[in-house]
Amino acid sequence: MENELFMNAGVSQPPVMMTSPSSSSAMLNWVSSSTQPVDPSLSRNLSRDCLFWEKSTEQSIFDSALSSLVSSPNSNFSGGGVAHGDNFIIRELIGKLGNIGEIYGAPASNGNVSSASCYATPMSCSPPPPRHMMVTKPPTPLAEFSGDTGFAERAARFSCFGSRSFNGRTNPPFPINNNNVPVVANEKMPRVSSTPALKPLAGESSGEISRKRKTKSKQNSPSTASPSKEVEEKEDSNPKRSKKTEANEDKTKSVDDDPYKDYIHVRARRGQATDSHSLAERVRREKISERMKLLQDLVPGCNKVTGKALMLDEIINYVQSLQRQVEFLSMKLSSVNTRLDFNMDAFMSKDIFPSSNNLMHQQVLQLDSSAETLLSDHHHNTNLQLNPKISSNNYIMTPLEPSETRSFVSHLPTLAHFTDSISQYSTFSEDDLHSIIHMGFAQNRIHELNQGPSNQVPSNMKAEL
Amino acid sequence: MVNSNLFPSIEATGGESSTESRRKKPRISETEAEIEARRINEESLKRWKTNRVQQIYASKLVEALRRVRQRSTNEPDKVVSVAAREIRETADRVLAASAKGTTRWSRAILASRVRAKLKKHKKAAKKSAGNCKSRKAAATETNRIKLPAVDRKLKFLGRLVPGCRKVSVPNLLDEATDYIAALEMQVRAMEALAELLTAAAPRTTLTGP
Repeated sequence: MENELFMNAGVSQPPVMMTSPSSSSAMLNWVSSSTQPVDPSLSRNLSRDCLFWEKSTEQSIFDSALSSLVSSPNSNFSGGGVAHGDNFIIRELIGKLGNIGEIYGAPASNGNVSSASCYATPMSCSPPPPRHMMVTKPPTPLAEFSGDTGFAERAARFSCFGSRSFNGRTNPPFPINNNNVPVVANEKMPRVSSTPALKPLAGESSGEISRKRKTKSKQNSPSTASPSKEVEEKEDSNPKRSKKTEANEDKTKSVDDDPYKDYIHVRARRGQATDSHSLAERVRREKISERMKLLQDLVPGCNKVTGKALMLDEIINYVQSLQRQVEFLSMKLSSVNTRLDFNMDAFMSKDIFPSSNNLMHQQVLQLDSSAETLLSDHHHNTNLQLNPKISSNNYIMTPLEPSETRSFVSHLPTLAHFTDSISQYSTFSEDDLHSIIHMGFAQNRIHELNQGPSNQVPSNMKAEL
Repeated sequence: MVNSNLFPSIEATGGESSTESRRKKPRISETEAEIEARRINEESLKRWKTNRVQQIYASKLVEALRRVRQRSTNEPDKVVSVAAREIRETADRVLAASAKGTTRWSRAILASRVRAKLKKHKKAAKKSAGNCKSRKAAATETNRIKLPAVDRKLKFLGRLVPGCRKVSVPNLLDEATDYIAALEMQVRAMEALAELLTAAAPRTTLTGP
């Protein structure tokens, strides 16, 4: 197996190899050119670890293969029909690019043969220019590939990867590639089906590669119905490699725009188990920890807490307290609802979250009108009805608290808007209203700061009833 | 967190509605839903804080409360607790409605009313209670040892968030995030509303004779 690779990988090809109109014949070109002698530049690699060399050659193979594919799309894929057929092959190719294990094994089917040979054969003797070309012209090749817009990005990533693999032997236009690739990647993130070879870091240098494919259909079925997982592992890598993959770039995901490539690639970190199960667990754990972090931001007082159990305790307590607050407020609202005049409804709806000056004016005007109606002598009846219950309302207002000893209320910007609106009201209203509102304002403050027991409230409610 | 002045609720619903259909697919949806869920999570914390959402909720709440009041005026002899429960359920429904059906808990809240009515009609309460008991007994028989603390708490959290009892852990945490944000907004709205109403009411005492 390795000998085959040796011979095949030793081929140095010009970047533009595919001159024939159909890709299948292009594949044959690659196959035919596989008999060329080993590139002397590669001999240096032989001194390194076999595995590393194999991987580097694979990457260089990928690199050159894809560079050739991408750099010369015009000649290859002319016409929609041909391109369509080509895309399948290319997709197969891409799909198998990550399947490094397949390269080692004897290719079983024709498709495998072509793809394997494609991997095996070409070595670009001038890596930087094609990469530059690739990186700079992703838009143009995209037009050629029907629906395979992520291809250029993959190719670009390949270039980056390939350059890394040579470990400085070649001239890596790294920063440029790295800068461009993430940009390209971010736009096309959902469409990328990454293989480990696509990692912009020297992921392979860190060692283990493992892939999980959630769905894979190599046939023409567009729907990803069969969730078959294929996990392939590689042996441990050369410990000389010092680079380590970051956690964020360990995973890439693909969306079903590309029906063939719906899998999650996970890279094992350096020094960690390559077992598929442990990798799956790590993915799961990271998902959960991500969400716990979000929750931590949301729930107050969770910054000091570490550990899932305590965090969950806090979260549960917080949710319970919020629900209790809602119940309590609904009780309060029910008591207020029964006594209020319908005039209140007019300004209530716009009053609650005043956000703009226009609303404020409306609120003020409406409050004015409603206040006048309330204060006028024509509404004695309503006043009388409200009078005996107002005192109890005042009672209710003061000891109000969210029935929770923690100061959750204070952290919520509850009455910020409201107090602003009240201050505006005071300027427009009559003196009595002014004093009342300030009293209400003061009571709000007390309400905010007080942490009195909630027991008083039900007793007050009972008293008034 | 910054109070965003955008209207992420619109865009969020656009993206989330498509996530809905995807989430129904078993395996594929996980990969896409994860991306979507992450986006939703980042947005959900903001969408419940926008002024627009708050205004929508407030206005809807007022409308609902008015309707409840009209209904309650027909039946004046209501215990406070019953009225409070009605108002709470109304508020929850309004909250769920303003979530626009993108989250599981909102759908569960909106569906719970229908389910309760159906159960009453079909008298399935006895059957379900029996099933629950048998299930619980089976669970305790098989798992003599208590579940680890974290799992217990996750289960409890699942019971707290409506409609999230049999939901996977990452989804449960997503739902809990959105639910907490929504609850905070609800509390703020109801507090402001209550303060407004109670502040308006005592005017009459001081002006009265």
